[in-house]
Formats: sequence, structure tokens, C-alpha cells
Amino acid sequence: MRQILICLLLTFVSIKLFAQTITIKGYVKDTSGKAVSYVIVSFKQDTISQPLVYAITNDEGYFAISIKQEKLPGIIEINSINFNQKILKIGSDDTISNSPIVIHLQHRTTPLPDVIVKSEIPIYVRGDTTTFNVKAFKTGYEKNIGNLLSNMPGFEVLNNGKIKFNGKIIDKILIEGDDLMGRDYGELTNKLSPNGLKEIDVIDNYTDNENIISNFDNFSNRQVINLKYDSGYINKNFGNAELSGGLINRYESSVQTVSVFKNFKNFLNLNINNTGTLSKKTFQSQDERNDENDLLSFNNHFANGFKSLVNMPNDVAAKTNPLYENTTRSLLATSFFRPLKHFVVRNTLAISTDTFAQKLNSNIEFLLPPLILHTYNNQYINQHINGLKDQLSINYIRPNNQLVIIGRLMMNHYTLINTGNQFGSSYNENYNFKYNNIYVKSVYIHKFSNNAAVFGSFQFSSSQLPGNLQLWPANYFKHFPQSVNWWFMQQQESQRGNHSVASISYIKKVYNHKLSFQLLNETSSSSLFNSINITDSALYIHPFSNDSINHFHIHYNYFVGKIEDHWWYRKDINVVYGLKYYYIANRPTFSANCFKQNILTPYFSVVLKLSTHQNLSFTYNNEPVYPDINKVGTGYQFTDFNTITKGQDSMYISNAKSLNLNYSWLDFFDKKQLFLVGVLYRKQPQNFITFSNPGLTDNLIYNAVTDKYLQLYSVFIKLEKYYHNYQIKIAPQLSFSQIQLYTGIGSDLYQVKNISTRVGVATSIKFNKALIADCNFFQTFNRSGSAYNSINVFASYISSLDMGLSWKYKSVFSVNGKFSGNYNSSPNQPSRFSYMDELALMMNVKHNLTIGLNARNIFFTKYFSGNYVTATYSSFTQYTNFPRVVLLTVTYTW
Amino acid sequence: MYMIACEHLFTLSKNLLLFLLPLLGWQSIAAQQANQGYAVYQFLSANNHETIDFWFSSDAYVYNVRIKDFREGNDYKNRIITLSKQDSLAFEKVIDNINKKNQALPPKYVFGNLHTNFTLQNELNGDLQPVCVIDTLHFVKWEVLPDTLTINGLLCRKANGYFAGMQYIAWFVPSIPVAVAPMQLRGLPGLLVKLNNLNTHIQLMMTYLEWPAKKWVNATPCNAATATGRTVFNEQARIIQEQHRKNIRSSKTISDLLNSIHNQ
Repeated sequence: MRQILICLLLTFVSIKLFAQTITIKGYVKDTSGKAVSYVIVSFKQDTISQPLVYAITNDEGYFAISIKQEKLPGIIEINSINFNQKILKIGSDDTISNSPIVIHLQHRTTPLPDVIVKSEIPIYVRGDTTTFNVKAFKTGYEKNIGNLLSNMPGFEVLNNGKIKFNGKIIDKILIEGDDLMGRDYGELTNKLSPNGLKEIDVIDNYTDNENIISNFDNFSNRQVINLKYDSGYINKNFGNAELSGGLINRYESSVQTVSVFKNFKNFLNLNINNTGTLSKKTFQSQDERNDENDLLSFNNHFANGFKSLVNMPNDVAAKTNPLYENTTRSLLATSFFRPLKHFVVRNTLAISTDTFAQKLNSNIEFLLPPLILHTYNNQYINQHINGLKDQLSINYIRPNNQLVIIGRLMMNHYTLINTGNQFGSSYNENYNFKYNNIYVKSVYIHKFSNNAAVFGSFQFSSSQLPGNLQLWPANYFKHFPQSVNWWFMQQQESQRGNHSVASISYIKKVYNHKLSFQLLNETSSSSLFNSINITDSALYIHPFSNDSINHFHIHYNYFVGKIEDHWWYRKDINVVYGLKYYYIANRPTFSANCFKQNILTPYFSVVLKLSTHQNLSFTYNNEPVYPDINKVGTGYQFTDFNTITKGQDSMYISNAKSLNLNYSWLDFFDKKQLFLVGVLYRKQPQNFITFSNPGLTDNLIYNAVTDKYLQLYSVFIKLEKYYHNYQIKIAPQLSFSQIQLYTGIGSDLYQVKNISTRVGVATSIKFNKALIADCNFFQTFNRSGSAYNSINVFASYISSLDMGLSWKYKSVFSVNGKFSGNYNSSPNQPSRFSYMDELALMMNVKHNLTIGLNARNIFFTKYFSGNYVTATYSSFTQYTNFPRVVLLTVTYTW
Repeated sequence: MYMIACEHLFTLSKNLLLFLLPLLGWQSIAAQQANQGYAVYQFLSANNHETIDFWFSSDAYVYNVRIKDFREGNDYKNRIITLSKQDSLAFEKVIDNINKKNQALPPKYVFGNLHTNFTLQNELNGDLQPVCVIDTLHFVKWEVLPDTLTINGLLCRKANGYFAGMQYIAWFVPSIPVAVAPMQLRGLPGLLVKLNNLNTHIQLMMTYLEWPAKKWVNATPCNAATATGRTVFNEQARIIQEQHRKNIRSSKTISDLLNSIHNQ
């Protein structure tokens, strides 16, 4: 009996469960009774909600939908593009028949509403090439391609105009496949307008088409950007001109033209303004990395940098250095030309002049117990910087041989006049330096077959840096005709350096192996003339030094690339390992000895493609580092090695080892994020020269350290996350580095540790592409500790905040506001604040004419530094007001 | 005699049926030209990027993969890296010739309709001769989810799909109630807008839509009765391609390379 009851109970429950799901079956037919197939039948709660279940009729027009009882009441909606929509109501009390229902549809009587959709794919990846669609990222506020790339995922634009993608530096910027500026593309980043750009390709594993033996390498770790223009901009000249003028006596004008033809490309930019934009950075740094595959670069195996007597002093450390009064004129013209079948010619010309004056107000309290002396200072700085650079290269390419000739001329002229008031008197400082540099290089390649070639190269450079420093009180001759208690100082220095490198290599490729034998001769000579004249003082230094380095080395490389030799070769893993052997013979002029050294250095790199989105690379490099006598880290200004004894000197060439591990996860499609982490470790044993100096009384043997870097640890982490198809971007970054180095001389040699941590976040939000807000905040902590002087731990803090808000109305009108603030604090230095703001209104009058109003430093105008204590000063404040600028701007684009 | 005639009549009818059957699905196209659409899809994978033109009606569709510039293909990049670059300037002219030849080739339209489980394609064999290829398809099983997303102004609905061990996520637009889609992707209760393959990370994205279509494609399907199966066709093509590749790889000079490309 009990069993019967249990069975009945289970049956009742199952019936109840089954009863909760109902199935609606039916046929869909047209008005003539003919079955209508492949129409969409869906069940919804009401007409506006989304369907809960759906079915598609088969060839006989039959459908079946299963609905849960609790979802009733609802509607059955039948949709087809050929028939009018039909809706059937199903109530919760309705009895659903087991027989199929028949639904009749009427042929569509009303036309379908038009829908036109046009969109572009923002990013797509094909093998080594990642392509960005410019329209998907352009906001209309970009003034140059640097601004545009900053908005694209994975890109980072550095201060000097260099670009990183996916944590890796971009080697070159190509325009429609052609290289105009080589590695020094910083100006292109900061000046080239993004008008007309259609796509930007990032090409990894790049091989140079202008190098006939670049295919000897199966794998290259180089990455380039290729700018591709709309078809309407090809075979045309285009550009824009901007003219601005306003308060107070301010003007800006710039003209830019770009030509993109198949055999000719040109970029020209002319800029004149007196609103505080400096152009001196054009000439300050050249990217010279040793890469013999890059025929257009100058290689320096052993750096021969000049030691400048002074760094051009500038107490104004504000973020963009707006100035009281200045005028800047700059011209940049870079061209690529293919005049004949086998010739490629490129030329870059850059000219700039900067003239500015600045006034700083300072309040100082001097502690002279029992007195406290107050003084107010007005300091005036006048500075002139003129620069000229021209680089011309000709590349003659034939099937079996190639000749490259490059010439470069750089001339810089700096003049700084600094005038200040102190204790009611004034003093003048006058610095005058000229820097001239000429490089010439020629390369010849002869290819015997697809597997063997000879590579010959000769390079010569000559540099000069004459300089003059004068310091004297302004009223010296007027008030003090006799030199009593006041001083006048003049320092002159002149540095000259010549450097030449000649090499010849034989390269042989055997399957995946590449062997090269290189014979290289490098000669370097430099001289320093330094004289200091100080009146009323017995101090007089007139040193002179000259050293030259001659060496020969035999360079033997052995590469093995582990790549599958398959037609569609996989690039899941690339391994390159090799061995270099150096034989170095060096004879410095201060020594009678010739130093000889044999160095065997292995290296390898592994690049793994873990998946379509993840890359892991690990490299180990081991290179000899040659001690540079000019970099002796002494506390004294002498560099006279001619007086040292010859018997106890020795010079060591050490190996600099570096390990670099990088991991990247770049997913544009699913996760929409970029994650980078990199670790770099570099160890370089200290290079030093030991000598004894009979000119000094202690007669000790000194170790003069010539290279300071000992151990460097560096870690960086970056995450970029995008939401809602790149409308919201959040990118936190963290980087950490620690350098341990030795400095000092002799018994004063001590270790210093510098630690730097940088943390920050960059955010950007776009609302329907019309309203964009971005905010970047970065904080850098620097800490320095000395084992010699452990009680002095120096630390500095640098904070920077940039905020911007932009709004656009239908490409007709736009408003753009920016604020940037900078705070810098270090011990024994005044803290420095600076704030700037900018507001711009633009209106499109015609499709190529824009009128705007630009106002800067209206609300935030201060540069302020102050309040630090030393043994002499009890407080020190310094401030200046940035000039307010209001400009009316007219821009014409063609 | 009578039996023989009947037999002939039967054979003729069978062939006629095989010929007419595919057209049954498409004959409504002409009568319903107002209810047709045109879309462009971008097919993206790690190594490849294709553009697909897709014309569709309520139950039938035609699509074509556009011919690309030779420089956009992996073929070009791999050849340039692995082979000699000694006359890259002259090679540009060769590429222009290749592009012109490719553009002159007839499009390889694929015809499908919801009434059948196969498609017909106007293919070209390794010797560039027209061949009708029939593909029997198996389709993705879709499960509609409640998620919605607006893509390019279209309110889309999400669906999960499973096929051959792979998982798909698709977004379709219910306001365009057609169940057609290229390849094996049909069966959604709306036009496909975006698709991700979660295993291979292949993506299909609609970048253009005309609804209704301004112009219908001028193409007719090939004869199914004389069609070759895909497997057989692929095998024949592979043999011819292998021979071409062998010729290119063994090229020692640029003129050998150009000859082998021309011959291909």
C-alpha cells in the first residue's frame, strides 16, 4: 500500500513538473495557404521586451516553441522581411491546444525602413603587422601624429618624440613604405599633422628593403611604423597654414606641407612664434645605436662624449618652460627622392633660433648670526640658441652591389647672459659655447650570391666645443677701479675630438646559420684645453690633455636561428645565439704601455609567441665597454694626465652584461586590454685607471673611475584596459629602477645607490566621441644613498598632473581646455611648483578654414619655488609669472 | 522501346530536377528584390584579413571573398623575406602585373539557401579553369542569450554557438529577421553583425549594411549536376599549388622567380 502511495505521489509530481512547460506548435502560411519557411517566431512578454525563446519555421512552415508556464502571459511574434509582422497574444489562462495552430501572414505592404551602416574596424592583426584605422581613434584635436598615437592602444610617446609600441621602441617612421628621417624621427612625431592619414601599420620583424643583404637574417627584432594615406592624398601636395596673433604682442605662425608621390616624399614645417615654444631640443640628442644592418646610422662602438664645462644653467624648471619674452624660428625639411632606378636620395635640414629673456624674483634670508639679512633679488636671463643640422644620404642599389654615402653637419651655438642683483649690487654671467660636428660615412656591399657578401664601411667624425665663461660684477669697473674684495673670472675651454671607424666583414649564410668575420679599426683622439683666470687670486689652472685610442679587433659572430624551414614558416619561436670575439689593442697617450686584451662574449635572444596575443622575449647581451678618459669622475676640474708617472698605470676593459625579460599580452578583440611587464638587469664592472701623480704631495696611487654604472635593476609594469569599444581607457603604470655606482677618486671612492620609482595612471573617457575627458597623474620618487656619507640620504619627489576636457559639436565647433601642474621637491633645493592652463575655441567656417581663439595661462600663471634651508640660507623663495597669452587663430588646410 | 524511352525520360527529369532544385530557392529573389540586403563583412584571423560581400534575402544568399592586392597577402611577405631581394624595384612592376591579372579573374561567388544544406561555388582550379564546387555544410548550434549590445547603432542580441569543438559568440540584430549568414553560421533569428571564435580568435565583423540593397549581384549559380565535391577539388588544387611553390622555392635568380610566378 505504501509503495502504491509513493508511486502515485511521484507521478503527480512529475505531471506537475511537466505541466510547467507548454509547447506551442503551428504552421505559418501566407494568405493563399502556401507554407512560409524560415520566418522567425519568438515569444516575448510584451512588444518592447526582448524575445525569451525563438524558433525558425522549416520548409513546411512548421514551428514549435516551448515556454515555461510562469512566463505567461506573453505574445507570439512572427517576423519576416517579406511579410507584415503578426502578433498573437497568449494569456496565462489560455488553454493551449495540442493541435498545431495556423497563422496566416500578409505579404508586406509597407516598405522596409532604410538602414545604412558604415563602420571601420579599429584594429586588425595580420602576422607581423598590426593595422590601426585612424578614423576610429581620431578625435579632431590632434595637432601631430604624436597626439594621435597617444590615443591608440599600446602606444607610448616619449618626450623626445620617440615612440614605443607594446613596450618596444619604434625604429623608424615610414611614409607609404619609404623612410625619410631614419632613427631621428622625433621631429616628425611632434610636427607632422595627422590630416589625410587612413591607416597606421606597426610592422614587427622589420627588414630594410634598401639593404640588399637584410634577408640574411631570418629574424629581426626591429619594429617600425608605416603611415598610409587616403587615396585622395596620394600623388598630391597637402598641408596647412596657421596664423595667430593677440595679446600681449604675441604671435604664432606655422606652415606645413606634405608631398606623397611614388618616388618623392617631402615634409616641410616652418614655425615662428614668441609664445614660449623652444626648439633647442632638435639638436641635442642623436640616437646612435650600434646596428650595422641600419645603413643610415652612424656607429660608435666606443663613445667619445665631450665633458661640458657647465650645463647650461636654467633655474626655471617648469614643465614646458613658458617664458617672459622669447622668439623662436624653426624650419624642418625632410625629403625622400628616388630620381633614378637605382638611386635613393634623402635629405633632412633643420634650422632653429631661440631668443628669450626671463625675469625671476627671489627673496633670500641669510643667517649671519647674530644678524639675519634679508635681500630681494631680481634676476634676468637672456639666452640665444642657434642651431643648424643637415644630413644627406645617397643609396645606390643594384642587384649585386650597393653603395651608401651619408654626410651630416651639425652646428649649435649657445649664448646665455645671466644678470642678477645681490645686496644692492649686480653681477653678470656670460656663457658662450659653440658645438660643431661633422660626420661622413660610406658603406659598400658586394653580394656574391644569395648566401655570401662582403661588407665594407668607413666612418669619420670631427667635433669641436669651444666655450667661454665670464663672471663679473656689473658695476665692477665703475665702483671698484682697483680689484679689492671683488672678483672677476674668465674660463675658457676648447674640446676637440676626431673619431674614425673602418671595418670590413665577410658574411656567409648557410641554411639558418649566419657567420660573419669582421676586421675593424677605430681611432679616436680628443683634446681639452681649459684655462681659468681669476683676478685677485693665486688660483690658476692651465691643463691640457690629449689621448688617442687605436685598436684592431677581429670580430667573429656565429648565429643560429631556430626557425622552421617551412613555406608558411611559423614564428612561434625565434632563437638567435652567438659568440663574439674581440682582440683589442689600445695605446693612450698618457701611457707608454700598450694595453692588449682578448674578450670572448656570448649572447642570445629568445622570442616566443605563446599565443596569438602573448609574446615573451628574453635577451642576454654581453659587450665590452671601453673606459672613456673624459668621463673621469673626480671632484677636481683637472684632467691633466701628462704629469702622471708611466709605470703604474693600467686600464681595464670590462664586459657589460645585461639580461632583459619582457612579457606582453595584447588583446584588442576579446579582453580589450594590453598588459606589459619588463625586467632589465645590467651589470657593468667598474672601469678605472690607476695612476700616481708626482705633482701632488701624497704620492698615492689613485683609481680614477671612468665608468660609473655598476648594477642597474629596472622593472616596469603597464596595463591598458578598454571598455565599450575604446570609450574608456584606464592605464596604470609602475616602474622601478635602482642604480649602484661608484664615484670619487682614490681614498674618496665611495658607492652611491640611486633608486627611482614612478607610479601613475592615465585615464580617458569618451562620450559619444563628442565629449572627451582625460586625466594623467604620475608621481616619481627618487632616493639616493651613499655608503660614504650615509647620513645624507637624498630624496626627491616629482609630481605631474595633466587634465583635459574637449567637446565637439558636429565638426563645426569645438572647445578644448587643459590644465597641467608640476611639483618638484628635493632636499637642499627649493621646491618648485608650476601651473598652466589653456583654453581653445575653434569654429569650422568652411571645410578647409577654421577660426579659433586660444588663451593660455589665464587662471594659473605661477612658477614658484621656495623654502629650503641650508647652512647659509634660512629660506629661499623664487617666483615669476608666466605671461598671459590670448591669440586669434586662423587655420587654412589644403 | 517504350521502356527505353521512359528510362531516358527519367534520366532527363532527374538531371533537370538537380539543375532546377537549387534555382527554386533563388527564383524568388527576382520577384522580391525590394526585400534584399547587402552587407560587407571583415574576416580577421591572426595571419589573414579578408573582405566578404554578402547579398541576402529571406532565405537565400550570395557571397564573395574579394580579391586582395598581392602585397597584402602573406604570400608576398614570406616570399620577400625568404627569397632574394636583389631587384625589389623591378619586382614592383611584377606585382602590378599580378594584381591586374587577379582583378581580371571572375569572382568566385558562393550560392546558398536555407532549403538546402549545401552551397555551390563558381571556383577556379589551379589552371584557372572554372569548376563548380559543391560543399555540404554542417551548421553551428545556436543558443540565444538575454544580453544586448548596440553595435553601429543596431541593437544586437547575443548568442552562443558550438561547432566542431569550437565555441562562438555572435551578435545578431533581430530587427532584420533573416536566418541567413555566410559559411556555417546560419540559423540565428536575425542578421549576423559580429562573431568571435573563442578558440582560434577569428573574428567576423559587419562593417557595411544596405537595407534594402541598392543593387543586387549579377551572378547565377553553376550547375550542381556537374559539381565537384570540395575534398576532391582541394586535393587537385593542392597538387598544382605544391608544384608552383616548388618552382618558386627553387628559383635561384630573379628571372627564375618571375618566370615561375608568371607561369602560376
